[in-house]
Amino acid sequence: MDAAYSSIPLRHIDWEDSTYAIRSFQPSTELEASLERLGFLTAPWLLCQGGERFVVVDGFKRLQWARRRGLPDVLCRVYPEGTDTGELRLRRLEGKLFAPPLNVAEKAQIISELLDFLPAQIVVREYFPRLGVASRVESLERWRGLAAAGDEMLEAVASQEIFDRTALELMGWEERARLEMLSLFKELKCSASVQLEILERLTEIALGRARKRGDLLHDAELQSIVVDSTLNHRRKTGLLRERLTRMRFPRLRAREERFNAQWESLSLPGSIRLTHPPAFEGERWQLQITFSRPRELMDLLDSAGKFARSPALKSIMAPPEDPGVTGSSQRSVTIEGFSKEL
Amino acid sequence: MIVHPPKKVLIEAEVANSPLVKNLRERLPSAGFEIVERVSDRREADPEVLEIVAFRGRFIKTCPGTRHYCCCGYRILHFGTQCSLDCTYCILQAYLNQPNLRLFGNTPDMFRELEEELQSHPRRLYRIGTGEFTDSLLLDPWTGFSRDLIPFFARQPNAVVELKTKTYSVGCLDDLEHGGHTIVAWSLNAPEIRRREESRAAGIRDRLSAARYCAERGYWLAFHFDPMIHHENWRQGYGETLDRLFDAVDPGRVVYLSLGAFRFMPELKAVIQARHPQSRIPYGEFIRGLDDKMRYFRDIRVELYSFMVERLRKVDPDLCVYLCMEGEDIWRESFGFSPEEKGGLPAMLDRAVKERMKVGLHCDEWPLPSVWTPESRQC
Ligand code: SF4
Repeated sequence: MDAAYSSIPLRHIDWEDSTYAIRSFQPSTELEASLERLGFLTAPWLLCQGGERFVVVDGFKRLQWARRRGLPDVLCRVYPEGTDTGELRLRRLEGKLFAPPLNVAEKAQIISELLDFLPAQIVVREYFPRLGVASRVESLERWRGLAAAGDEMLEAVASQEIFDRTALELMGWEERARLEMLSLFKELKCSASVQLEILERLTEIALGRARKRGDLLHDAELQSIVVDSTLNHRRKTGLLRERLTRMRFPRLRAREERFNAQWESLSLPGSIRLTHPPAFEGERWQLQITFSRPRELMDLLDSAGKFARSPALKSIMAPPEDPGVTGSSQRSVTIEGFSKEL
Repeated sequence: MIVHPPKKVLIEAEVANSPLVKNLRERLPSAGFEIVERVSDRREADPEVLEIVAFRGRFIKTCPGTRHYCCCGYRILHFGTQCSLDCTYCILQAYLNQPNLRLFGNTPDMFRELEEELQSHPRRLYRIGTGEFTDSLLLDPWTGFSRDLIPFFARQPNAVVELKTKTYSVGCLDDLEHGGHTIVAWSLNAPEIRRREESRAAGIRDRLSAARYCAERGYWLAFHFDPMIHHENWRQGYGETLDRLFDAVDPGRVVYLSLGAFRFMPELKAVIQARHPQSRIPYGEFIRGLDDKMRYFRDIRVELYSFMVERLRKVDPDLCVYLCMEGEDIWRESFGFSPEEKGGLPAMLDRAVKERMKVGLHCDEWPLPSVWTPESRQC
């Protein structure tokens, strides 16, 4: 595949043709500063379309800069008319792969393009590792979907407002819900793991209830948080996670709330802490006493002993009378048989 | 029920002349038979293939109980792996390196090992089952394995065998000398769960008809509501199956009945999601148990069990009902007692066998002096 270096007038370039574009969705301030300082370090690639008409293959941002600066021509590497365009695209992609690190939006576009003319297995086996992408055939369609998901999604993923796994997960969502989640995540500004947790909770709650994820998001119990403009992003994220956890694990949450309410109602010294078994599974409870002086320990042991002998301990350890009762209705539970004056 | 006869039988040369292969050749005249030196693991899954291999491990295994939950002291007779009924929740689908139906062709070795084990402890009562790594009767119409196994156990004074199934393939059991040493057991579930999650297995009505057929031929019965799935209208569903069960069979023929809420290795969740995306099972309220398996939150388990126990007590207060792999706290809340108070779960089950089946009356009571360890008597 022969190419020749030639100085091409910028007016001969078809600026509308973006066949070979892989957009980064990121500002090019640093690149422009470099161009101002050093000019072109390597030649952009053009493909001759016949006569004096050229399309850009590589170097879009640099050529746009040159155009804005009013340069008349630029030395380019020009592929002649009739060049095998598949091969040319592949070269362009290979070149991209070894350029500075790619953001997720660029990776998605590269994967999508590679899939146009290479078998899926090869893309996964040979290109995914070079792109730093987990080699899973199942994710191919999601990557392709991401590349076609529209500018808002690609901008968000390029600027890490949402993360790659979140974006790929969202590709399995219906479009309306996906866009709603996108704007929610932009607002929440949460970490990748929290984004994934929120998506997983919503998905599992919806699947467990045979509902659509998008519809679930519109339920009053979630909307009351989502649309509340008085909450800052941290508080909103916290409340949303708590609400989703409660929806996903209603019985466990109810039991925890009951335990907390009962424990608080006992008003034992703060240096005594009762811990239930994780998820109440098994029978190993813990009572922890924190002290600084022997005298303090004696007093705390006295309080702990009275508590241990009272029916209060049995009551707090006991399962709910009616397991179907939810936590909120049990908030007012107080424990008989144990008084504060201990 | 959707069970197709194997179309291709792949046989390791070492067991090419075994009685099992002989049976298969007779009963599968249109199948292709191929002898190979070694059937390798990691083969592509092929539902039409049956593999017959020479098994080199121990055929008798102990039930995979753990320290944290009460184990039944059951022994497993390992005679094959995998199952084509493809229940959505089945653990066998996680064994990806051996995806095909596989039976062990060296059955004479199996019977030798069984004989040696049973004779070496003549005062120990053995409860042995075959349905741990496959369905006990799935391939029986073609292997006729039960026709060797059942008469073998009829001759053992200190053992009973349990064949656990979700099929109605009991034809081979018809005229056998079982001597009252065989329990035919069915796994049962709520009708909706059977429809959604066990769609290739026999329907509840067919399982119960098969149970009645066996009872009429003098077989003892057992039933396992395992895995119980927490779902909408579960009370109605499980109640209905219980009603149908005791409409179909006399509770007096039932040696024991177990209850076990769904529990699974965490890795299974992704497998279920990938293989059965329509299944809602993974989205129950599961927590990580003390054995690291996922289990329903304890209050849900207690609720499921208490409902069943109450209903079962009304049917037959003497029926031995037990929980599979549960903690003492769950027992106490569901039954009002823990197995410990009755000498431990293995003792309860031995007693059920002795009292109902009148087998092993000469055998020692638990805890057995020679085998007692805190691990073996966990409750
Ligand atoms: S019948 Fe048993 S072994 Fe077969 S698929 Fe179902 S759960 Fe698995």
